[in-house]
Amino acid sequence: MKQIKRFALLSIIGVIAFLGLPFSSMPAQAEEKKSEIAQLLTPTKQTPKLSPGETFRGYFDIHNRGTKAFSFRVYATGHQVSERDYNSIRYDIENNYTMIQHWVTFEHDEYRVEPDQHQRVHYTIKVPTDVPAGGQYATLMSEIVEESEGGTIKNKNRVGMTLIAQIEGTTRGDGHGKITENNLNALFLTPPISASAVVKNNGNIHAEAKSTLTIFSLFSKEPIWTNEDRPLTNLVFPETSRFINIDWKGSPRLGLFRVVHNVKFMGETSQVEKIVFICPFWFLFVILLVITSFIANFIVRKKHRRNN
Amino acid sequence: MKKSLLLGAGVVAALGVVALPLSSYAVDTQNVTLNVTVGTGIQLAVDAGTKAVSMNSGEFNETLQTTATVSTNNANGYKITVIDQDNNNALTSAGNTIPAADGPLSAGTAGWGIKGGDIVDYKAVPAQGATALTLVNKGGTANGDTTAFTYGIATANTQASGIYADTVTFTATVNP
Repeated sequence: MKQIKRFALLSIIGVIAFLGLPFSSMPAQAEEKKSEIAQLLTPTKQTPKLSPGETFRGYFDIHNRGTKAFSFRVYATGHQVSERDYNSIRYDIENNYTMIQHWVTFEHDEYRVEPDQHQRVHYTIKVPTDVPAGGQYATLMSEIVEESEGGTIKNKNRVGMTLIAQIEGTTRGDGHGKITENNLNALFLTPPISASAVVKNNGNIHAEAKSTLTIFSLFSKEPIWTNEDRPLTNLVFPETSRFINIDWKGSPRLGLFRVVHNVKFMGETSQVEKIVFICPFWFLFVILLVITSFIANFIVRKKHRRNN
Repeated sequence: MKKSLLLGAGVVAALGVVALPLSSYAVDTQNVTLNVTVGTGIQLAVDAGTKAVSMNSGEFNETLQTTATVSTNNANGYKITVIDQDNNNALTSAGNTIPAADGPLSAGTAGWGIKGGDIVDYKAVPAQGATALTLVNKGGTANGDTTAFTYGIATANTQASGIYADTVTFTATVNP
């Protein structure tokens, strides 16, 4: 009896010790290792509405998030996207939509900022009096001035704030866009269930494309998932097309759903609704195999009856 | 009887007096609304400003790397692009060059390029004035996203000796 009690007590102590080990040996959360040189730019974009002849004053901040002080120089470039997936950007570009890069001046060309400090960069946009109404696009750059010499390849660190401006006046906005594609497949072999669209901006001002995806189970009017309260919003620059993709990240691997994809752009709306089947490839293969065997069995039986 | 009634009334009155300030506290409340505006930001760190390697003629080397780390709270994500600092995108030493080239790169034929992120095979770093090469185009926010980029450098069999150098600019911007 005594031995049993001793054994029970030791076991309890052992369990407590075992459970306590992970907590006692868990290291204190390691401090995130900071880079030597890291710059944070805020905000990432500004959207001023300007009038011809106006002088606009704005600013952005450069925060030193590294461990060493650095100098940085500021300047303006154009901003032009190419390709409909908006993958490529041209900064060094001159056209009717990037003239604003020449209207921007900075309080200073170069600044210095210590670790954990920030520097406010003031800029002025002097809009000429004889400019057309519509969009103007630029990137205001902060480029770190490297102090190292020599070597094969030297890297420069640069961050940019996108300036998306509108010059007041008669613009070609709503009514000058087109939803050229609205795609929703009926079969998915892998998640997520997704839909896509292509929109074209034929106007002279940027516009937002809003897309929503709503998933219903087959016989219910209540949505299982929707982003209607937060539509996917993509900016489309003038005289460009943009490919937009939206997906249901919580898609299961197998199921039959009613899916609705809605796109709104420059006064146009396009909606596609489909019954969508999602299943892994092997499941589809099994279904086809079952169907094939039923058909084969039916044919064989019919032949057999005819012969008899 | 009278005494006990009086005592009871006294207790009730005393309780009432005590309760008065409590009841008056109950109606004296104020709502305070807190408004916090969080703006968008993008942060870029690019490791060690200069990369150096020693090579012989007729060799191929891909040991040089640059790591870029991005953080942003922009819901549409970010891009990292690379472009040459000037309109000459070759590695140059005096009058000799190793030209920027798309892959494949091979020992014996001079050329250099970059890969990593969304770029699988070596691509020439564009010169100023051309469209910047997009190395990473990612949707959604990022918290210390680190991407390593590799430089491939091939020298010609008759590559002249010297220190060949060039400067490239990595730019991080948010997706609109």
